[in-house]
Amino acid sequence: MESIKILHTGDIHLDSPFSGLDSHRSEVRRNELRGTFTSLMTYARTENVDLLLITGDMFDVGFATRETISLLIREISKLKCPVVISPGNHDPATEGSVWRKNVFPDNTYVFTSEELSSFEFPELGVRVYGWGFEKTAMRDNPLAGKKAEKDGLVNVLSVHCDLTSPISSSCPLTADELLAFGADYCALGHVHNPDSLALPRGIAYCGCLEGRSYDETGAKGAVVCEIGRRSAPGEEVPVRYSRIRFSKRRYESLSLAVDGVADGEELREKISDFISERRFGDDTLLRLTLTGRVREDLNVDTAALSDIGDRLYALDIRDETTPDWNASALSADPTVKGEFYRVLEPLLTSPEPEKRKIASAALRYGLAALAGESVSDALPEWYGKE
Amino acid sequence: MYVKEIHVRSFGTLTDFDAAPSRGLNVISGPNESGKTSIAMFIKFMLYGMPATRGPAATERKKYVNWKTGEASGTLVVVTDSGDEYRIQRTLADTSRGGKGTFKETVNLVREPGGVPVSCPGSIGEYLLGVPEAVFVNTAFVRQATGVKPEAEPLSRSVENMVTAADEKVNVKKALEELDRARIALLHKNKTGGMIKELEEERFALREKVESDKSNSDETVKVEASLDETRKKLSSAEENAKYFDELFSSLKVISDKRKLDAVAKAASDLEKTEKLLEKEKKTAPDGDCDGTVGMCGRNFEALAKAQANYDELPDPENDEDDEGDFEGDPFEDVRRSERLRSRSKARTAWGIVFLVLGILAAAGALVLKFMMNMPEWFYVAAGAAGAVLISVIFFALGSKSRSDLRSIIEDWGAPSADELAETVRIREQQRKDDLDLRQKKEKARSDLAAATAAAEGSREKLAQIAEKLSVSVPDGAGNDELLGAVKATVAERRSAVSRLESERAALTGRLAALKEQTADIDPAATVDGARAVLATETGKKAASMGQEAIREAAMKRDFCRGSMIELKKKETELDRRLAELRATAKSPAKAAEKLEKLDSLIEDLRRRHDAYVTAYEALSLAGDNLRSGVLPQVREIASDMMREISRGKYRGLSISPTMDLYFTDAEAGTREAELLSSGTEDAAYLSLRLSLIKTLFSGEGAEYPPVVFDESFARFDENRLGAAVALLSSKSFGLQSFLCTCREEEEKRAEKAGGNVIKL
Repeated sequence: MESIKILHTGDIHLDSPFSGLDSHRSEVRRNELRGTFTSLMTYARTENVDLLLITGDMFDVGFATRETISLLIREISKLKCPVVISPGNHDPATEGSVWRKNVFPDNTYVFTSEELSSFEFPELGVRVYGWGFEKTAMRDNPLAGKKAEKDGLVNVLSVHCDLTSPISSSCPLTADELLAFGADYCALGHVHNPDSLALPRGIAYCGCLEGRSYDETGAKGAVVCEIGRRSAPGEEVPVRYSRIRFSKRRYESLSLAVDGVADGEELREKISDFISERRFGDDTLLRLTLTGRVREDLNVDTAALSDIGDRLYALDIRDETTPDWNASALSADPTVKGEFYRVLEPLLTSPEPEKRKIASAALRYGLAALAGESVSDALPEWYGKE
Repeated sequence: MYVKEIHVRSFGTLTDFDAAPSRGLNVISGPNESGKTSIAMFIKFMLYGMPATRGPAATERKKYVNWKTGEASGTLVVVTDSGDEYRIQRTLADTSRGGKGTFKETVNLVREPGGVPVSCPGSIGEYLLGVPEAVFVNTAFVRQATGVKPEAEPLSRSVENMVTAADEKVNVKKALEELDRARIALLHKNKTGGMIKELEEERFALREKVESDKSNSDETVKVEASLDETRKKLSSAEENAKYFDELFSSLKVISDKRKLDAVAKAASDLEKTEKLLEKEKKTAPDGDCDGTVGMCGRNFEALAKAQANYDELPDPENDEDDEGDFEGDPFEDVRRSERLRSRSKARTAWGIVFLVLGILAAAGALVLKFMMNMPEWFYVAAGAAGAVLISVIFFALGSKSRSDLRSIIEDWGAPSADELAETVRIREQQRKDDLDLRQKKEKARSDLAAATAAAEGSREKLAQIAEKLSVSVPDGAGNDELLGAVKATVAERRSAVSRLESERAALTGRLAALKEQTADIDPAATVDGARAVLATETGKKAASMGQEAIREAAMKRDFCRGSMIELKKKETELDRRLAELRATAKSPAKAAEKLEKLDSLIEDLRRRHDAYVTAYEALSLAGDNLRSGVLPQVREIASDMMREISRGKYRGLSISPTMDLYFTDAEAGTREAELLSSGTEDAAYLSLRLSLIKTLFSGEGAEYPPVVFDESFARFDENRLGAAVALLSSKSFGLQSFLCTCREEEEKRAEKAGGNVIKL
């Protein structure tokens, strides 16, 4: 064995709520997430992974079910390689926590202290450093003044920490602090969308295994890392790692400008074309935010439009269009309508989107009220059903 | 602006209809359903087109798109106040042909003369008149004041609508009420009620539910894990207990086997002991032996005593030969020494006396001779010499006595003469004692001889016994040694017997006890069992265990059993708790998802609420602005018109800030609008509408529009109709007007006043 193959995952959040879906599909997604986790474990088995690192937030305390814990135990017991778990802020190793129970197979190694500690696997030539959250918040730096051993073993740091904010309550660290520690590879968990982070070589977030909301867009997965064996103390070893997709679905959040559409039919076509052009398949959950100025009398019925996404897994249309109130007509209107528009105009052209949004709605409601129409909208359909 | 030419190609029921209206009053007359309103709507269509939306406005298309030709089309030529002439061509064609309602509209605006195309971004009407469609429709399209309105409201109430919205149907107050109602439905001002409040309460409850579901779920997981852990421990404890049970059952078999072995050994020991005892008893010394030994003991003892007696007596100091010295009276020497002592003393005293006399005489002689020179000195001297001689004799005699005395003392060995008597007495006593001792010694010697003889006999007997008892006696052993050896052997043999007897008793007892203990042990099974057990690891271990190890194992087994009980209890408890939790288990994720949706719904509603509040505030401000901005001008113009229409009966019209309408009667003073006759009300309405047009269309870039009166004067009496027609046709009014009517009266009046009649 020339190199050590490590599978680095985390932020799986088994059993946690899925946002933006109806209750049935949320349930389906939760089951799918378990399926994805199983696929990951199957990959670890079939691809002869030498070491599996789970860098926290395996599940959410309170949301996790016993079936999930059983699944976890079952899947780990199928593996021959060691599994190192570093509990995170969502699944801390609190008093009485399942991490502290002697229920996991013998190849499970759990960091249950916020102090830096390590597990050594001489047969693999690896030492895994790490820590585990003991409560939901952790502000101390366990690496302060610590250095990785300089012996013949490859050093891997496997932890849950936050490199994005120095005031984070989830173990805030900096890339420099990690580099100063001197591990060959830092396997991190906590950040679900790591692609936007520019990290130095040898430091990687695995990202979440499946997106759970429209904030977690794109394909998700885990990191496969190969590290060369160290033949002499202090020798540089090659580290290669890349992220591979495991997620069954992908969340996408896009916006579509629909300025000037004439009617619902045209709007429908436009959305349909947009989805076709991007070749989104049934693995996609798309949030499409409609923007732009549309005719004031165009009724953007997002619920009715969502059936366009039949070939998607889910389509969530958000209407952020600004009704084109025929501004010049209204501003020229000498009557109360025009005056109403003129009073609202500073708000309608406010640089703050929230204010613009409210003013736009206010204009719509005001004009409807003037036209003698009812301005109360009904509650959404799902409400009261569940 | 005025309409110069009307060319209807197809619009509603009208086809290919042309008209050239005048700049002033035009009367469109015709019976009902002849298309009067169509002409009015055609003008609007040409200027503003037709709304494309669904809903009520869509019926307008259906109504005016000719069902035969499938289109609404025509041309309108208008002239602006500045004299510019424009030609508007518009076609709205139903392209679907199936009545689906898909329309295609083409519009063309050119400036005449020359047909220069004009591009206008918005509607043509807005481009030419400077007001949007709604304003044009709501002002320039005048219907009958009251009665025909769908919502028959009193004029005073319409005033505000007209003034603020130029539309009696648009009621700011109502709109405000509607907004407020919608706002209240969402959230009361003091936040005590409303949908948001209710949803927030629901959200609060849901949050608690999520938390409780979460803690429930968390506990389920923890309890499940604890249960698994407990079961693991329990199974390990059970395994241990099983091992210990096996160990102890092995120990039992082994111990049974050992007990049986012990019984067998005890039985064989007993047999051995009995044999030994029998043998011992056979050769054991008998009672005679005891007597002999006792006698021998006594004889030896007597011999020893005699010997000791003999030895104890000291040997006499002097031989028998010395006995002669003691013949006579030893005290004669004492008496003689006494005599010698006194004789010596007397002789010495006499010696001294004569010596002194001699010396004195010598001295006298010397004195006589030398001092007195008397010759008699000689006699004296001779006397002196005689005295000295006598003293010498006495001294010699004394010395002889002392010498005799000394010889006697030396003979008796006394230290001095004084102690001679005591010495003699002692010597005498010694002599007597010695004599007594000699006699005793003699007696002892004879006793010793007798005892020795007895002992010799005894020794022989002892030797016989010793031989019989095979006592090994070293050569030359003394009597006591022999006796001791015999006695020891006898005692030894005796004690051996008794030892064997007690041993036998003990063994008998032990055997009985062991037999009792092993009474319920099946020997054959135990032997087989032990063989089997010893073949196992545990059996080997058990066999090798000492008492200490067994005690330790027992402690461990007890601990194991104790912890098993504890773990069983814990397992039951956890099982019960888990069942309880499972019974009430709900997935917190579902509630959390609903909570998330509720959050976004509340956020949405809050935004809506804010929008209602914003709309309410903006609308009331807009209303206020308009009232204060437009009202004075409207009132002034309307007063003038009212005066003209009523031919001076009403001098003026006033509108209070609260939008109450008052009329100033020339005779009766100020009246409220509610008290007017319906005819007067219509007049007031007309005045207000017209004044509003003049006010609203007076802005920058705006032109007075052509005004359409659709049966507006139906209820006017002749007098008032005349006044109204006169007003509309007067130069001072200055607006092109179209009066649609089916009444000949109106037609005639208009014609009379110089109006242009368009007949349908």
